[in-house]
Amino acid sequence: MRYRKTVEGIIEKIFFVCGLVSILSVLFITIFIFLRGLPLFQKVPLVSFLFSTNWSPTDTVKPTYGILSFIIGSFYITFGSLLLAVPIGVACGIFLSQIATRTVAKVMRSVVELLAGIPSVIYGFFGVMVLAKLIREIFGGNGYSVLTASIILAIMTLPTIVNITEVSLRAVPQELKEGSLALGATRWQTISKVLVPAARSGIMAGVVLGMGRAIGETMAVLMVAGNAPIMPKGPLSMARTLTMNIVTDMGYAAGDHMTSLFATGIVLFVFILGLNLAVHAIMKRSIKESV
Amino acid sequence: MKKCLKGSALALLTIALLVAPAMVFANGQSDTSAKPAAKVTSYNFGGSTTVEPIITTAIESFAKIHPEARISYDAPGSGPGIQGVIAGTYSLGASSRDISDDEKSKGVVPVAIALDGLSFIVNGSTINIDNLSKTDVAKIFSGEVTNWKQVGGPDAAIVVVVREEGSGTRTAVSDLILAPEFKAKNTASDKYLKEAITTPSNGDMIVKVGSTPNAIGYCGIGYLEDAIAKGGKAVMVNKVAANVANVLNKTYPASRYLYLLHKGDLVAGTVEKAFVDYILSADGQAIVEKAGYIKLPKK
Repeated sequence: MRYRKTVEGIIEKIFFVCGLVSILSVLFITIFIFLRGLPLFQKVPLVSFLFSTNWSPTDTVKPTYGILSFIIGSFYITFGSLLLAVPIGVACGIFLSQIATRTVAKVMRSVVELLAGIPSVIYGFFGVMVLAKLIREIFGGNGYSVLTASIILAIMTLPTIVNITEVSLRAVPQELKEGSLALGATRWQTISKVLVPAARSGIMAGVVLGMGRAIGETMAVLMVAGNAPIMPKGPLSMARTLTMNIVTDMGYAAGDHMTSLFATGIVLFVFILGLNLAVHAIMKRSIKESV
Repeated sequence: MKKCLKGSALALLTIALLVAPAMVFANGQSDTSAKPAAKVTSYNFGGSTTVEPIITTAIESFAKIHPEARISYDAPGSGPGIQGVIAGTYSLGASSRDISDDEKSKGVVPVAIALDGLSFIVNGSTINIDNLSKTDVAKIFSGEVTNWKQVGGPDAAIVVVVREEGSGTRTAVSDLILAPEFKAKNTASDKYLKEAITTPSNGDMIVKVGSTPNAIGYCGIGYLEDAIAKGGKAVMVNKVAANVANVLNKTYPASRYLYLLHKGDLVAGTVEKAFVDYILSADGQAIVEKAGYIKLPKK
């Protein structure tokens, strides 16, 4: 008896330590990014870092570190991808949970899951070889643009949105659906007036999670967005995102240039943290609603 | 229990966020100046990022012959490298630009170890230009010329592809093409066009120029064959083709020497002298070629 209790105790401790590893990783990475990035603000005012569009960190006369173009670039590309992915993803989720037969849903679900498993460099390669060419032929320009990156990112965020939409629609109590149908509502009326509103918090959480994926994606957008350090002027303009800025200049950066890349990381970190907090808040609300 | 753990995790994160800035501003400078204590067998070299691939590979193979010498190489750039040699921070420096008379008067002695040549490539399926003047190239990469017909090509917008900030190849274009062109007009040295596709590697550069219609970009001469295989086309500069022979006979305008630097003459028996000799040896020159640069002509 006593022996069993000690074993239980030890195993509990081991699991607790494993749990700590993830917390410590977050902690150390956070401290590291801040330690390496914050010294920049001793030389460059925060305001000019965040609100200047001039990025010339290796200028020999007067280096400048302004990342506004990249913040805007990140937002353009992220929202562009959501604009494409949300309608398609939510529709797909509704189809999978409410309309499709069991076999069709099974096949479709595994294909969507496969989409999530493709490495981002493959998406990027596809973007360079096929999509950029297509955009160039249809819309003109050089093919590397906000639009190209948004399309690639939309495909990449689809699985997140589809899965969470489907799960939250399935979580809607069966009685609601049955009640609606019993009152004489059509299938579409039931979906649009009863099920989707009941699952809206879950769907929102899926969208925000997809947004997190889109804003953090690096490799695929790096290959198709053109990467020019300019303020994007429209869907066909080239753009650079925060993640792209870090990975582009990382190779040879030194001194203040390197510090400015870590500072870019801090900005990205704050954005992602904000998004995660939003997801938590929405999830909490959705749990409250469903009870 | 779960709630309490979550609470403590959040508390830890909050503490981290609060403590990190304080730590930075308290001792942010100290960790950058901390260098390993100088041992008898430790050597600190530093300088150009362009020369870095040669030096780092050379250090590895040099260590096999001289296991007693532990050499490190910092790459803050040619300018800081030269300053470091003058100040004595680096016992051996490296530079991708010529040493000025002022720097020579402060005791810097350069030894040429390799040549670097830039080649300009255009998209082979859309642009059939064979030659561009050095001025045309400068105007294209600074954005003064935006259409191919202005330099004798088809009526199409020029798609400029450049390398990232800090890249040695980017700096070479800046130093060899843009600076000489714009210095006469008294403007800043880095006149690069911002609205350009930016790639972080030679490989990506070659693919982008080869696959994007109306594109122009650049790469080291060592990558030229690869670029042509991927759909690129080499252009001559001032009617001189970019090849090793033209770099060696100094007719090709976009080329330069790479140097190792030492304060005062090298003394026989020192590790610095042995290292310079190693890079000038057949083994060292093989490293030069492998890194994509041009080895020195045989005397």
